[in-house]
Amino acid sequence: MIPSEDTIYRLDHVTRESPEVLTLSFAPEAGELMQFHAGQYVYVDMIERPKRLPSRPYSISSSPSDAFVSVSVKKLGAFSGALHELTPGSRVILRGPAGNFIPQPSMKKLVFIAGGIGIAPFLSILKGFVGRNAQDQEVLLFYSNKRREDIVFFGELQGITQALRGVRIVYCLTQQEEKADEAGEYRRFDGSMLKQYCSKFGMQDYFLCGSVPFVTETSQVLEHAGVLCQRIHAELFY
Amino acid sequence: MDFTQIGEVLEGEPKYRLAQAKRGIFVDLVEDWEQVTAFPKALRARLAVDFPLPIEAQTFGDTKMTAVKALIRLSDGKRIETVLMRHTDGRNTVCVSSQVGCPMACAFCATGKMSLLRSLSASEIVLQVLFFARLLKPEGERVSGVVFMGMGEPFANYDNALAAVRMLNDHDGLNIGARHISISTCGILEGIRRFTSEALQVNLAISLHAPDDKTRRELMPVARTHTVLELLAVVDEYIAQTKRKVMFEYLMIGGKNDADEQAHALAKLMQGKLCMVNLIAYNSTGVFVPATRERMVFFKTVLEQAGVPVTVRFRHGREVKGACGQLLTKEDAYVLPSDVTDAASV
Ligand SMILES: Cc1cc2nc3c(=O)[nH]c(=O)nc-3n(C[C@H](O)[C@H](O)[C@H](O)COP(=O)(O)OP(=O)(O)OC[C@H]3O[C@@H](n4cnc5c(N)ncnc54)[C@H](O)[C@@H]3O)c2cc1C
Ligand code: SF4
Repeated sequence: MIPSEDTIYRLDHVTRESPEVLTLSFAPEAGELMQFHAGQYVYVDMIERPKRLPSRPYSISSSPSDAFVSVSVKKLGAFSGALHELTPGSRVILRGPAGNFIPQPSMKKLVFIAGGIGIAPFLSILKGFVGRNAQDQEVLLFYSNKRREDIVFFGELQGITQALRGVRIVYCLTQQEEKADEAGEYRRFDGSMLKQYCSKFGMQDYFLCGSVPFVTETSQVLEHAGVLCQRIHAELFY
Repeated sequence: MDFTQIGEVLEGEPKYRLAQAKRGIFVDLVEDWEQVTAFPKALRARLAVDFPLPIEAQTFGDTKMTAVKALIRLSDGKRIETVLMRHTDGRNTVCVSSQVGCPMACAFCATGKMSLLRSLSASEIVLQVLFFARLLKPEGERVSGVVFMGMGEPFANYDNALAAVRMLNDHDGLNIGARHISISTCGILEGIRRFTSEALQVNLAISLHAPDDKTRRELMPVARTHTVLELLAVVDEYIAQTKRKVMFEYLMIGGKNDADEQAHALAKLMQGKLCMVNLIAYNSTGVFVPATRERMVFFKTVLEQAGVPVTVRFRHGREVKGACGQLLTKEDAYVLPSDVTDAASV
């Protein structure tokens, strides 16, 4: 494990991913960028706010080889709202990295299941695979959102599927009317979807990330289908 | 009441007023600024408006009972539960909530079903203790300990929970010894790691509730983020660094986590650890049934035979406050069994 520490970072730039999601990219005020494993998270502490809010954890969405540490934040409440207001140059403490949501190099067949902004750590992991040109890595990503406009990183994800032949993405929209000319699923991830896409996949490890109800429901689907609990790895956005 | 604002409210006043105000609130436990006679009349009148002291709450039970519950109304109208436990040895422990609702969604927990409404500020956590300190004052009694086992997961609100610990611990404030404060977590590993590095004398309690990953994951979503062995490795690091005994809570649920092999597995995990296991009778919230008394006795025996210190909280009389997630949301009073123990006694 890489030791965790508190370091001051400055917001370098902001990228709008969707009406509700911004990616904030930070650079250290001094010294080196933190070392982390793709899949880990950091605690963000907005030290410059007049009324300091307690720090919150955010998955790192950039890859370990990027020049910045980025987090992708969905606007929900007080803290995420305040993060959306940050302007370049703002100072924050990033405490971390933390978490063990890290696929091991021995795991050559991976199923990723992301609910909404739960895609963030997967983007980091996938970019890491691209960086290593991991052509032998098989990944099946189910990316679930309510509606089409909630999908973030679409362009980057498509680029990743082009760069790595082992990566496939199934977009699941749970509250969207079906459009005949579009690939993807218009339902929740369930046992039949697992069977349809994964039956030939063989032994694999499952990584799940999203809200507590999303991860709970999805892992129950897997367990019902007979997946061993040691093979199910989860990150909860509580 | 936001205790961090008191300095601001007193701006322009002589410096010593702040110490006097704090003394009034936390030591003399005044409920009305008029009682702070050291303050000029005009200041008292101003503070009554700018920093009102009353705490709006409904209490269930009275201080003669072994447990008194209060529902405290916060400034935004949300209500939180807090419980005073009175022990036969004279200790008075307050069980505080750290969040309104809880995001962790444990299957056996009524609070978990509410999901998270919001986290509490440090002041709102301290307020719960202050409320009972005031209630006990006429008897010449004080709050001697605090356990973070009410609504919410303290490590999901880490900064505020720890800030509250520091406020409770303040010698010029409520002056509750760190050794008499316990934080109970459902198993947020990063929280435990950070807590380890704080070098505080505060006790740590872990809601384990199952020795195997499969059962634990069925009971607690957070268990999906780590294995029992990973959790115990982080706890071992805590023990190694702090040399403090850790309390493991184990709610006994019929047909779920009370089998013979689970007792043996639990004993094996706990053996040789600087720890203590607290077996708690499950207080049914509808989904599960409590384990029988015989099962609890069996677990106790197995643990004792393995040399693991163990306490048991049997279900007794009316409903019981047991562990995090076992606070009642029913609005009535209830009593604690006489053999109650709590984390503060670790
Ligand atoms: C390990 C970890 C990693 C995380 N990574 C990310 C990340 O990469 N990107 C990101 O945007 N967030 C992430 N989160 C969540 C983040 O830490 C905050 O909880 C989130 O931004 C909401 O905080 P807030 O203060 O803005 O909202 P709050 O004020 O806490 O909540 C606002 C409202 O939204 C509701 N709410 C809170 N959380 C959720 C939720 N998850 N789903 C639905 N409703 C909710 C609340 O009930 C409330 O009504 C992560 C959490 C954890 C524990
Ligand atoms: S048992 Fe504790 S951590 Fe679990 S949902 Fe209830 S209050 Fe939250």
